[in-house]
Amino acid sequence: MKPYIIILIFAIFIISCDDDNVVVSSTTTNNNNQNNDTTDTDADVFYEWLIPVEEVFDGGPGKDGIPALTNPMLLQAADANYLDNNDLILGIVSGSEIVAYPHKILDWHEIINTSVGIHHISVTYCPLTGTGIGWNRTVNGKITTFGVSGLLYNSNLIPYDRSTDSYWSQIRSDCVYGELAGNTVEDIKLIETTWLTWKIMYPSTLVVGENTIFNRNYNVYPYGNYNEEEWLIFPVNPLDNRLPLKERVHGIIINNKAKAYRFSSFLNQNVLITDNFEGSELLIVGNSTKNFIVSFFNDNSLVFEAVQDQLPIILSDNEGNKWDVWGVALEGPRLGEQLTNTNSFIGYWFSWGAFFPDLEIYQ
Amino acid sequence: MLKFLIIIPILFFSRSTFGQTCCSGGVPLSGNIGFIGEEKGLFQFELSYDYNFLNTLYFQNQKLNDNSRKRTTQSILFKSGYNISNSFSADLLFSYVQQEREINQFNNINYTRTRGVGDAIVLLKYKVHGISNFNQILLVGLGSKVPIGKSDLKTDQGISLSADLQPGSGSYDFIYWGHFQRQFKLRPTLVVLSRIIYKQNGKNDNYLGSQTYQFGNEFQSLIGVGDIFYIKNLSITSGLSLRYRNTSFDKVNNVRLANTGGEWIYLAPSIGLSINSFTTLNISPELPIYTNLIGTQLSTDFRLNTGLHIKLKNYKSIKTIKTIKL
Repeated sequence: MKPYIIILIFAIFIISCDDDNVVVSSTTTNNNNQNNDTTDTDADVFYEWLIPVEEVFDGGPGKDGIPALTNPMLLQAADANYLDNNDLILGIVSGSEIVAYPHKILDWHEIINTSVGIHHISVTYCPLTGTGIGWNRTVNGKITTFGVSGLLYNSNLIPYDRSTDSYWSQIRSDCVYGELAGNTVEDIKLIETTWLTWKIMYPSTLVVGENTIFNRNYNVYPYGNYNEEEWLIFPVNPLDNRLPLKERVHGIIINNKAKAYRFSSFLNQNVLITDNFEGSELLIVGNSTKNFIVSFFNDNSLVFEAVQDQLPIILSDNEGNKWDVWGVALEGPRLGEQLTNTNSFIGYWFSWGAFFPDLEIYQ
Repeated sequence: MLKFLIIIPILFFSRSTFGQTCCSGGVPLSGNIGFIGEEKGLFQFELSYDYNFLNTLYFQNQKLNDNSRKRTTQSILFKSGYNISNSFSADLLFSYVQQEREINQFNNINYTRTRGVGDAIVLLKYKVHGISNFNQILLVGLGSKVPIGKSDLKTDQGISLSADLQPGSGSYDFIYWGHFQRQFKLRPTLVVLSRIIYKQNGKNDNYLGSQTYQFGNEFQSLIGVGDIFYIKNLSITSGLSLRYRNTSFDKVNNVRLANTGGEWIYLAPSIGLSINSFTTLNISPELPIYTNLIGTQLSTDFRLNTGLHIKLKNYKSIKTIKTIKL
């Protein structure tokens, strides 16, 4: 046989294979799932995505390729030597339990399933959008855990619940694919600030330790200079570049509309901003040096002012009450009462612009 | 024609140099190109199978105790080469690729597989006459990787997959290739060789619809030794090579992507059985003996390449030399 005939035959074979591209994706679940969740995944059952599927991307590591943590070991603050004072954490207080979840851990795991006080909580954090949101992991009446699906929408984490294998959008806090599509998850308030500020607020805090069951170097940020530079790894739609893409802003969501508050609006002391958004009177308190912003509805017509140097107390009012970062009155005639928290969290500017196009920026 | 016989050990090393399209998987294209032959009119073909298994997670040069992720790349490669003249030759390589990703975590096994035609390579080689003589050969080559493989595969739900799971890269790449080999009068079948490959990668301008993706440029160098032994009438070629490979960062929209790139040294023994005077069956496993990656990445644990090599001209001369040897 002539040699060029062989080449020709193989070339024809290759060309004929061109339509033979195959993609297979499946999940197999063992019976002894450590989370006591039962997953009824049927690869042949397809649901409707409630977000544009053409804007959902496989991030690369795959489903559970970034392993979520469940009930990680906690340390006393004094023993957390791997943390620097400027490291960011997400903190929660529930009853007498106070716990901090460092970005250093969450950068590698994105989700921590745990229980704090009365809360069964998933601390979700997306390193690409810089958004940390607490979720009640009681979903549809059943306590579940969340895992990292490996998918991204607008560069944002898509967790999946291990009870039904439904997929959720972190920033939207709703189920976007699967049996529970259309359901929402209850947000649990977290405060994002520095490790130092958190320790000032709560010296007795516990914090997630670096000895997880996974072998990672938590002192290395896994995304290079991503959190500092003006570039994205995955497409977002729309891309709003009115502010630096990775500027951390506090966004408040009311009636599916959002408004962004910049750290630069606050000074190096506690500052109270009163604002009106979507017909609601808002109290926004922040401190650019202490690195926190929190916000509440002013629904009881009190007159507030910022309190300095008494963290976690940040506000006082004309009745003599003192309110902490959670909006709880720690002193005064309204002791124990709580201001209504807004639906709000901190995230990179571009993520707010992508999920809430043309959102207002507080000036 | 004695020097023609020397070519045989060299064939093994062509399988020992390969270029992954990504640190965590990849298709062994660039290193699989480059037949050695110098006689005008010589046709060579090889059909080979390449298996690349990645299961060890590294942080830089430190193995992490986490083997929950597996990546395999299996490729069927068809390579042909033709000597246009005594100075110029050309190689052509086609590939068919299967990529697999498996994550065994929390008692779930999550599996993704893609399969399809991979990219192709053309390489034009030139024998440098001033240096080449009866005892040694220097070949230099210039080639291109042509993106005929798909780089935009989606799952059946319509979700775009990442670049390292695609059978093709979506980019035209330049390949610079050099090969030097020398044999010795005392034992003419003994060959030492060195090979250098540099792949300058282009951009996939349609990554995830609106982005560019550029795999990191890649440098490979190889040194090896090979010889032929005879057991009765069976000719057995054995070889051992050491390969250094260095890849730079991948880039998305011209920005360096973390956890890509690194350097490796591989050790690759090889063995070949001459089925007849123009057909050889080759097998070459490869093990990494040094790994130092940028950031945290999966890396190759084991690789195997096996193939059937056929020459369609000049086999009579080989037979003649074997007879002399025997």
